[in-house]
Amino acid sequence: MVKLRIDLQSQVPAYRQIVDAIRVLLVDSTLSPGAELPSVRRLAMELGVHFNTVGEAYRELAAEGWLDLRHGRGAKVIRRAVPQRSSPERLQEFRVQLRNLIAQMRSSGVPVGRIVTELKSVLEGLSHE
Amino acid sequence: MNSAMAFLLMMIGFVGGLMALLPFITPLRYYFAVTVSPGFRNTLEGHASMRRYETWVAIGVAAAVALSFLLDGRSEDAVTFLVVLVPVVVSFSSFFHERRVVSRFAQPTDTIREADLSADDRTPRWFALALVPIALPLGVAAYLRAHWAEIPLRFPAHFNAAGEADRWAEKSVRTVYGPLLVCAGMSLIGLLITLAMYHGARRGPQRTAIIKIAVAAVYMMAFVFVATALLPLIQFPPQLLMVPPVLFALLMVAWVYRLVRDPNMPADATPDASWHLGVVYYNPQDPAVFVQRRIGFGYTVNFGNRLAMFLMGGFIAMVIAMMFVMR
Repeated sequence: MVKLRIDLQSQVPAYRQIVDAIRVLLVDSTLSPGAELPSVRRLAMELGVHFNTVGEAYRELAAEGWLDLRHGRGAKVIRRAVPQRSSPERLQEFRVQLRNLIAQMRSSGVPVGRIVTELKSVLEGLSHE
Repeated sequence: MNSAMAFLLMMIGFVGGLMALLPFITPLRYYFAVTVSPGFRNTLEGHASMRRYETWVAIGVAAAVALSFLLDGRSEDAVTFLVVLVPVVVSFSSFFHERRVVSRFAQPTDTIREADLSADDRTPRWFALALVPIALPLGVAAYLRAHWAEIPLRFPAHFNAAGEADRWAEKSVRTVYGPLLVCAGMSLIGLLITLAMYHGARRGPQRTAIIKIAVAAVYMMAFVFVATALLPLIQFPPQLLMVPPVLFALLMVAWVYRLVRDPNMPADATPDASWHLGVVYYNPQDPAVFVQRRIGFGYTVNFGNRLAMFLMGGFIAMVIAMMFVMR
């Protein structure tokens, strides 16, 4: 049973947490093409968030090519076309996000060696695609 | 002591017992309808609240017993109802007071939410069992039709607390088949409510348990109605009609007592702030139509949800329409 977990008190908006969590499951192939996700209504009910929050998250994942949204019948994971190589601008955005994250880890006292190990481990976990 | 008094005392004892057990047949996460830490029940404050509550339940029962002796010989429905209501009112007053006391020790509601990412639920096949109470009255109607000539021209339609007939009915299609029509209608409403609960509440083992209780309740109700419909034909003491509800309540209390102590049995993480008196749940932000009750084990509607209001309005309209047809 695949679980999705969010924190309603997090600084990160609920819709962003849903997108990020489902994307991780898609990238590491926990959710593979053909898998059916719950309807917007059902997932919103389970998480105790507004329907629009889940709807927005599903639409973003559909725009990325991960989901096929069928009206009123939930969402289905589809085989995604291999995305084109990221533009230099997009790569620069990722670099900034990564730098901010690493800075946060460093300021929280995580040693450099540990950061490298964590990055490698996460990368290996997500490299099934 | 006459039989009306014995019946009344039995009812007082039964209701008083249920009131005393109420905090023990509620998920352990809640104490007097307040979210508390797992060990709170065993703290000094927890014990003190329980002691005060149990004392008031006993006072309510004693008051009802005293009242029934004062009203000795009165066996009207209204008297029985009012006397039995005394321990309920006293117990709930104490419950609400203890709720205020315990709320000082309330724990913040868990903000971590977890959802199973599998597709929407299909109605389970065992739901077909809930069709039996709708079909049962049809079978009994066929039996009554086959024995129509044996049904007396005048038969008891109502009994007082002493088990004596205090209202009579003339034999007609309406009076003979009426209870069966009500039975089929109520069973249908029960089935629809159960389906609505299944699809309108959060997933989890508690949902399955509550749905099973609801289906069992529909069976019990259908059994009582069918037995009532058979009374003109098969003579039996009408007090026996009280046996299935009492037996059902006792079995459910025992089962729920076990369920709420199961560490794998979660409870809905609804915020305390959305509960009024621990009974009414109003949360327009929560898309759930049905949420787990804080008192006892079951569901209540989310009064902040428009679909819930629409559904409840529909069910109430169905009950009123059925009462209108039966007039």
